[in-house]
Amino acid sequence: MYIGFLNDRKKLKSLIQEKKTIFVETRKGQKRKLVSTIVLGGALIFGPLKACANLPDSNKMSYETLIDFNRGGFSPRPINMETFGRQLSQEYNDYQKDFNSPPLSNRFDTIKFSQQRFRELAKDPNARTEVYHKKTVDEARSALHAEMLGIVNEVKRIPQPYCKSVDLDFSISGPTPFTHLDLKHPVGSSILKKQNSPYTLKEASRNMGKSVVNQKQRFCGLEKGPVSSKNVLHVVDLCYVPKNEKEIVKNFCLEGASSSEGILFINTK
Amino acid sequence: MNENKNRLIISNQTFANEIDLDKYVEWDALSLIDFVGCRFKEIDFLGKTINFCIFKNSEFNDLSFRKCQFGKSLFENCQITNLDLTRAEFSNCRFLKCRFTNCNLSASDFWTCEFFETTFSNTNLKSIIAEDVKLWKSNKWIKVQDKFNLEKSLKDMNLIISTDQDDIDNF
Repeated sequence: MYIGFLNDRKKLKSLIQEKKTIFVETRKGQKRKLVSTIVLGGALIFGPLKACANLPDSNKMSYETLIDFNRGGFSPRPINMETFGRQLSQEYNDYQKDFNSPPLSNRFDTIKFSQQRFRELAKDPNARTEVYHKKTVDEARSALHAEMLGIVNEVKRIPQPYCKSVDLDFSISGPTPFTHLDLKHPVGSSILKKQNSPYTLKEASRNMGKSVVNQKQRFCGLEKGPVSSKNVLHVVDLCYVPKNEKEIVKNFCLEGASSSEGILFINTK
Repeated sequence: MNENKNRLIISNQTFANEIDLDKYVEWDALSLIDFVGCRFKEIDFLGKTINFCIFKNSEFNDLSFRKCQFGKSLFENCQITNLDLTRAEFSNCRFLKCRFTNCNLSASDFWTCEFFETTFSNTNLKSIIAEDVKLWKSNKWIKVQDKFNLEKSLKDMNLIISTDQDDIDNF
């Protein structure tokens, strides 16, 4: 039993009328022979009828019911990274709801990621239990985004007990000379204001730049830590900064760091 | 100024989990709240922002404030025990007559902060960066000279009461 979604109902209708054998490509890229069809509101059920035995009378199913079954795990629609992040962390979900602005960036649209890997990266490595914070979900999302952009390779959390002492967000396998990755998520002036921040956007950005420099240095030489500060890459994800402020944040961050070495920005547009 | 806005005062309350405290979190931040005589325990508050908050006569026990950013906040007469503050950032914060016991402050940053009669016991103070930090000693403020070694300055001023190295390493 599979459930798919139609892009071209007219074409399907004509194929059925012509009594042709119909193959449907599922969202997982598998081809299935269409044995029986029920078309309701743009959705399509196909597959052996025997597998449908536990379903309610198909002819009476509403479109909404059909969608519910789809979510119920027969053949789940892939969800994008943003949706998965929201499912993992209530805290993250609440924040995104509050952040009532246009889509933050196209990274949320991707469905080409491993949920298991995202889950591993989003878990707080220092927590005693399995916990997903807004911050750790943000870190995982940005790290995978950076990986997809080819900025970093093979992102991993630093395992226990080393993460207690080497308190950087991730270890990475390059590109040379980088072995460790740390993420920053600055916010725009409107959020700073809502947080009653004592700092202006420029001050907060400058402070973040100073903090980046400190983070690069302080774990060098520790077991499983970077050999030198040059091995630590900082990726600053500007996803929470509105378009008109991204350049300001970038410039003042670099001013605070006094150098652009080992600092990269994503979601800059 | 922000600090002159309407402030919320919470007295004699116990916060025993994140949910209790989350009620006051907006935009991932706690701000403009005076906590007086409050008790905080077993809370994991990773990465939150805390601005213009006052913690007075309060107790902290078995908490994680990792990667939190504290701005213009005051801790007065607080007993702080088993608190994980690794990679926390404090800017323009003041600590008055506080006692840190079995805490982890490693890799935290202090910018323009003051410690008045505040002591540390069995607390991890490694890899701290302290810029423009003042310590109260003999009725005068003494500025920390080596920003990479707050621990030494605290030791020199007898503000580290005891250091059980095994306890710190096992934190």
